[in-house]
Amino acid sequence: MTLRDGIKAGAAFGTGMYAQGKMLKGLNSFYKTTKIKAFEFVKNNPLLTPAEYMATPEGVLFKAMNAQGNGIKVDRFNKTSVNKQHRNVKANIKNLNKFLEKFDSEVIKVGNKVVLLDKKGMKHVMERHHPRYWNGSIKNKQSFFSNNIDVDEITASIKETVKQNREFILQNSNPQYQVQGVINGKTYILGINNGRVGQFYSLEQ
Amino acid sequence: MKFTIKSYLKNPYKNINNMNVIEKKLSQFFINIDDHFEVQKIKKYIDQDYIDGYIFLQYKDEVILDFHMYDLIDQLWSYIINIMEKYLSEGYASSYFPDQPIKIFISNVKNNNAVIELGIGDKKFVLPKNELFIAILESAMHFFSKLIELSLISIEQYTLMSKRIQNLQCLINTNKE
Repeated sequence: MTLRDGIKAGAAFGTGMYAQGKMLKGLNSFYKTTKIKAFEFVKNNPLLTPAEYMATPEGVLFKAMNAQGNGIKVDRFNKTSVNKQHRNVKANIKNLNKFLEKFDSEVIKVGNKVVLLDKKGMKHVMERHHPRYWNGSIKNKQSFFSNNIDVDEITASIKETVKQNREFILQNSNPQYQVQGVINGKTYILGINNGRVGQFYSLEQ
Repeated sequence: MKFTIKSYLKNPYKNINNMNVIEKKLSQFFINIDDHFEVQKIKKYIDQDYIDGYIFLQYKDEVILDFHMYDLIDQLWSYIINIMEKYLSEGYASSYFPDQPIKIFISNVKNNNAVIELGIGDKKFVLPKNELFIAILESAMHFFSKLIELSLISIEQYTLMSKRIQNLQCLINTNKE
């Protein structure tokens, strides 16, 4: 073995080590991202089954990662039980996500103040109180809008409730408060939380 | 103290789609806000704009509020403070729960200044006024202190709320004398 061969072998070894290190670092970051994505997915879609999660691109990655003994266990997803009722709910969630893609925030002006109806607020209103978008969550007294009420009507009702309470909103200094509106003979409760629409529901169950 | 008041946060991992299931597994669904270790586990998954939980309120042996009426707990506490302020200036105040049509009101009782009537949904309770208000304000302050500790409300919100609670405490103490 000549000196030249020795240098060549040393250089090849060094390059290999460097490349492997880079690759491992990249893989580590890849695994971490997949794990974070998995957590986010579960948080955003608590009603979906593990099987459905595994059908998503993230799910496939997660499965592959888990098979190698890395990251969290798939069993974690079994915590969310799914029953018959949730089949409708899953469709509702899909419909709601579709609807929200098209929804633009509305700024409702009240004198020198504004009340913001943003995507998050609208999502909450719809998934809690609209029969066609309901996420299945139950509270002691569950209140629903009528099934055929349209999204534009809900937005208009929120605006009308704000209008009916203009003086109160202008004078109020509390960050979290409620106002009532009567629209077509029905009473609605509007919850305003730090200048944004937090809740809106009908008093009739 | 004849009143017991505690605040519980809902575990964001647990969806409630059947009220009957909760009672048997209460500790899986709700965590006492003072349970530092368990609260830390769920903290980062709590949506600051929609903090679900419940207030446990008991007078002697009578439970007035419990997990059956879980709702957006920070807003419920705020509404309770709102109606206390209004009640103390007008003698009657009401509100609804943040996310469900349950009415809550406080009103005077005829010919008896020492008690008030508290209405929650279909139930009505006659309770000692000062004792109730002192207990509520102390628990509300404790709740919001925990929220700021957990970074679930802004400093501005906390400062404003603690000022309002302190003002009410002063007012009640003045009325007592």
